[in-house]
Amino acid sequence: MSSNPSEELFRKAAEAEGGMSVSAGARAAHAQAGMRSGVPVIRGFSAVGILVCVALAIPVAYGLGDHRRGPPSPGLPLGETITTPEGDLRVSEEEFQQVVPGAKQEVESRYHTANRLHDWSDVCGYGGILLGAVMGFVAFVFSLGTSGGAPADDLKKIAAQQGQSKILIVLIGLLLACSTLPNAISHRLDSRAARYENSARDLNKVLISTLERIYDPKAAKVEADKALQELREAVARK
Amino acid sequence: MSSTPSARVVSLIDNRAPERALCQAELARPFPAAELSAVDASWRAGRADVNDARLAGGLPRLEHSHWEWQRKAGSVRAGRHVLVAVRCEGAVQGLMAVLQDVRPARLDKGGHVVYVDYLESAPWNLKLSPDPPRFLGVGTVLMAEAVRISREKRLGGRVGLHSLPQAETFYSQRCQMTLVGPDPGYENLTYFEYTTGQVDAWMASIGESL
Repeated sequence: MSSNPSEELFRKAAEAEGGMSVSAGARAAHAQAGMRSGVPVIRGFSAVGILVCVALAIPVAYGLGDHRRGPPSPGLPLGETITTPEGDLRVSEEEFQQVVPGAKQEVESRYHTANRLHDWSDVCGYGGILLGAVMGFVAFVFSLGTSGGAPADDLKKIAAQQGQSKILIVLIGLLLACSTLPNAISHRLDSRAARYENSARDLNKVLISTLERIYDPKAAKVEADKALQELREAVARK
Repeated sequence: MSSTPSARVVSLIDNRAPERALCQAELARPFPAAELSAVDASWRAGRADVNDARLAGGLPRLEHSHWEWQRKAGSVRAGRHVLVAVRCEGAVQGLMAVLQDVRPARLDKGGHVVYVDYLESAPWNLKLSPDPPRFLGVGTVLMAEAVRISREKRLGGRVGLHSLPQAETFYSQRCQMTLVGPDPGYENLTYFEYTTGQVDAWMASIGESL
């Protein structure tokens, strides 16, 4: 037995250790192993998944949002020839205004509103596609950047990988949201625009029909008054 | 940290020898990653025996019984970890994996620590193995080496680690490290750290000159 003081001090310390567990490190090595093999796979799938999402999102976006405008406005019959039982006649703006004040403005206003809704619909629809494409690109690049990493060998790295996977999931969610949500809005705007277009078109039809009846010399005055009343009600309806 | 392989003679207590004589062991740094699979193979059966003994005694299994050191090989080859091993009688008696990159100290603000990522003693050196522990002092020798590495990096001997619950007594009482507390970012394992003053006192207490 050594009498060296240093050795004696060490002996005391070693005896105090006395075969107790000295393990330091991660508790979840099994889980680590699972994550090591799983995370790159998840990330690999993410890269493919993002591409699929982008590939799907654009057609979905086109499908959801009807970005095509309806047929051009038939316009008001001003200056145009209207066929009446007595022959053709041309209607001037002054005549038209005299028949139903404000009718022309109302029809124009409805078409104008419809066009503005279509404009916003285009902004939302194409903006959604653009945003979706940008998000898809970001997610894809992020996915490529993370999937090339070495398997994690400590919990910090695994936590980082898990964080990256979560970010990827969020990015994919954002990608889908960016593609579909604005297009859903666009779809609704288009629907509203179509309603305005229809109402403007209907009003236009009533106007033409009214003019035909008013300018029909055979028509009784009562009928003409009735036609005018209908027209005023149609204008008042929005 | 030097990457040149070095072997230093250290002492362990041979618990089987009369009067628990000190015996010479070899401290290998860096320990080659290629030998990790052999270490796993030789320790696997021993861990199972310790677990059986613990379960028979109504104690929970060893918390590290599922570790596979071989999984560290890639990280060692990539230069993220350096391995330190204690060899005696031709067998590895303990292993430690230290991160090459230093980490910020939690106690000495502005300072850095050498982080001990993994540390384990061979299963036959644990007191609940079917036979009495063969060698005593493996953990102490490895921790002293971690302090040495810290000093080589001019970190003043500061060392940090996350202890498994079964080993907390060793780090708090035997190594006299400061218990910083459970770390929610690391499985809630208790984080221990040496400050410069503490480590000097502990090294002196185990007969290690400054």
